[in-house]
Amino acid sequence: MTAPTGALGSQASEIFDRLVCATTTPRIPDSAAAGAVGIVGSGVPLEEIVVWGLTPIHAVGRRSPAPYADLYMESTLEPWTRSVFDMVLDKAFGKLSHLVVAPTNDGERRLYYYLRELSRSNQSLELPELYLFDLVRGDSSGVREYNERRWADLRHALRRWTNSVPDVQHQKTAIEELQQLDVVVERLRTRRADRLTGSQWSIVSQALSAHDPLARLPLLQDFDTVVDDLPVATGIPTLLSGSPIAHSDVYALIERCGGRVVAEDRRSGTTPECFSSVDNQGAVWPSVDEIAEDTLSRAVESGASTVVFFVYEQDGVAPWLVPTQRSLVESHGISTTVVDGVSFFDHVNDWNDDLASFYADVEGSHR
Amino acid sequence: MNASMQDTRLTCTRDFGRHQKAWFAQLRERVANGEPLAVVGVDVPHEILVAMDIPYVVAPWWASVCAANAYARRYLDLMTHRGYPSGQSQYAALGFASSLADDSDGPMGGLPTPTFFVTQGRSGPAHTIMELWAKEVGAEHLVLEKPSDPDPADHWWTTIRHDWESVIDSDCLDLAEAQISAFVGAVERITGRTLDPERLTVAMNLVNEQAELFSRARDLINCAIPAPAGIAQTIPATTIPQWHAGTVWGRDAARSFLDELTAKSAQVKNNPRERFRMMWVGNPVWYDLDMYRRLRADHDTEFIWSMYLAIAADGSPRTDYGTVYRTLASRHVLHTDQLSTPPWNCHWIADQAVRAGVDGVVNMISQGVPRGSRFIGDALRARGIPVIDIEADAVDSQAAGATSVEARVIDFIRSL
Repeated sequence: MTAPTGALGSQASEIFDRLVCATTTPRIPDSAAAGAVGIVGSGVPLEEIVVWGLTPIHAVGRRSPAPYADLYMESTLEPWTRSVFDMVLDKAFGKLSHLVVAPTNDGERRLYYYLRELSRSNQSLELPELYLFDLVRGDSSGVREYNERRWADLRHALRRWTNSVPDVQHQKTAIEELQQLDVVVERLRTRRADRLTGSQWSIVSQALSAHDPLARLPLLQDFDTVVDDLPVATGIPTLLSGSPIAHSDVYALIERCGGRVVAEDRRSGTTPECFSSVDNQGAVWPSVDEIAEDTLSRAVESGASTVVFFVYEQDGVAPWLVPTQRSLVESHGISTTVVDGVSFFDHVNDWNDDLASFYADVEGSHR
Repeated sequence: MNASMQDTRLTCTRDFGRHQKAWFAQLRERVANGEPLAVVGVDVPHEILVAMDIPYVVAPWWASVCAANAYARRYLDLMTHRGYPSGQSQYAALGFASSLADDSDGPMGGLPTPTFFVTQGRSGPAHTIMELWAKEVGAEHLVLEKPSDPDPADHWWTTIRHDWESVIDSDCLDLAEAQISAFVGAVERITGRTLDPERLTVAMNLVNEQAELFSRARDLINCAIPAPAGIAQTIPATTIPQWHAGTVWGRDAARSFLDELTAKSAQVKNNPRERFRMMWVGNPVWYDLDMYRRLRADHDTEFIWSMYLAIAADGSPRTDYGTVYRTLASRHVLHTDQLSTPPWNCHWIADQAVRAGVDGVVNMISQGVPRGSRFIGDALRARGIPVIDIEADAVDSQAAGATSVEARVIDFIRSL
């Protein structure tokens, strides 16, 4: 299922379809593989990869069977990470020279160690060279020093991988391109309130998390020029909360049932949103209460009158946050519901009915 | 009961249980009189709390007490009723769940209200659950950030006690050392007490003495055929003294455990060996520890190895000090990985299985307690050791599904 495009004008439709196609292309051509570096986790600095002339490939999981992960990774670990395990073994990201893992949860940490052990015990496996980029959070001098050494070590590794030093002009160009990417995405973000459906936004954000994000820059810039031609988006404004990566099917389901995703909180939805919570040096982890307050403030700022908690991971942090988030948000008159993502894809019709009923109730109460 | 099988009950286990009850009653009294109480994970430096004479409870121990006294279902239902997940991270969540009960009739009289909580690392839901627990009771939550070693050393168990600097990544040790220093500052702030470095050194020495005794106990069981005791006896005989590691009682308890094993080993050595000598990987089924006795009585099967005694033997000793905080860091920074993450755990466990001469291994897989069980199974099978993987939960009997853990173990034994 991908985002509906029928409502768009012809030029906007054509550009958006190209964006969808580019975003959902599962494999990069092997010809790009010489400098292709896979990235897992939201803490890897793209600039560091790009300035050394390497191509960052976001290793993002997909909703599909993961038979290798079923063998090796616990079923309660985050499903997108389990999917990455299979996709690396299947070379679904193309021929990566290296895979940089920057863990932000136990599943990503285990992904590194499990792949490493599999590689050690099975020499015939052709896996990319694994690299752990382990940033920790905290505002102490010990944490800062540890993180600084991680950055220095990453640069040392990049020098070894490329056997070169970055060209200053190349460095400048790469950083400028990344900044342009930020600018265009930020501009598109401001259109969310009235022009972009949640599904469309999810494609924009996936373009960033998909393979080689810089290659998507021209498409995103083109889309930005036609976005005002889109029809005004409708539906009950909804904040999507919950697991780190919500699937585009969730956006589509919410829209079918009468809602419209206007924002996500820091743990859900789009990659840029996830990135906003990523370790910068000295960053600290938010408390459960701070997370709930963040959900509330994002709902209020975005004008969301409903919050849908989409909980995909079976044993992650998100399910433990939901009761506190719900309680706070509901105390401010915002309606909420929980979609249990574990069963979502098996029971999509049930969820369709539940969500439609939820939005009908909300609409009724607003009359 | 098969007449050829010896009685492997240990007197010391009963004594330790009695001590624990008395200690817990005293703890309740101390807290009632205004002293602080800490609830901690297994991988935080307890030695600091011992040296500062701060009573503390290890969260998994409290979970096991709740489960062993049949409180788990009631507590977990309370938690689910509040909107928290059911069937997830139950071992980690049971303590939090117990705090939701208005319960003066809890196990051992109930856990007094903690003053602060301590966990290491934030990568899984365990730290969030601990934070919720702290929030529920209005206590502070301290976290020691956990670094990850990118290149784990092979055969860590052979050298770590003497040469941890070469086994553990230096940057990881630096961070862990700094974290311990910050932790001491936080505890001093919360409790108003001051750490005496000399008392910490005494505690460290006592931990080492205890670990050395556990090491001898583990080696004795590995070599003794038949084994002088099974895991239903050795787990409490290890965990209770280990909880009091750093105290004189903790060290002496380990000694009495070893002494009793030695005496029992001499008594049983002329008797027929157990037909099946087994290893149990993972947490035991706390809700039915009697299962191990039944398996011994009815199927001549002794589970002689569990991770509790073995990790106490191989994971704790540090005989060559650098600075005290760095030594402490070297003991605790890898603790969870040694038990729960490949490659640390799988090759160590396989090596242990060979040394213990086991006939088979039950590899208990708790999806909510990830430990790379497949890698453990592969490492064991690579050594030619039969393995059965059983999905179950340490505290929730319903997690095993329709076929009980015991039935599956019996089928496996019959296949050997």
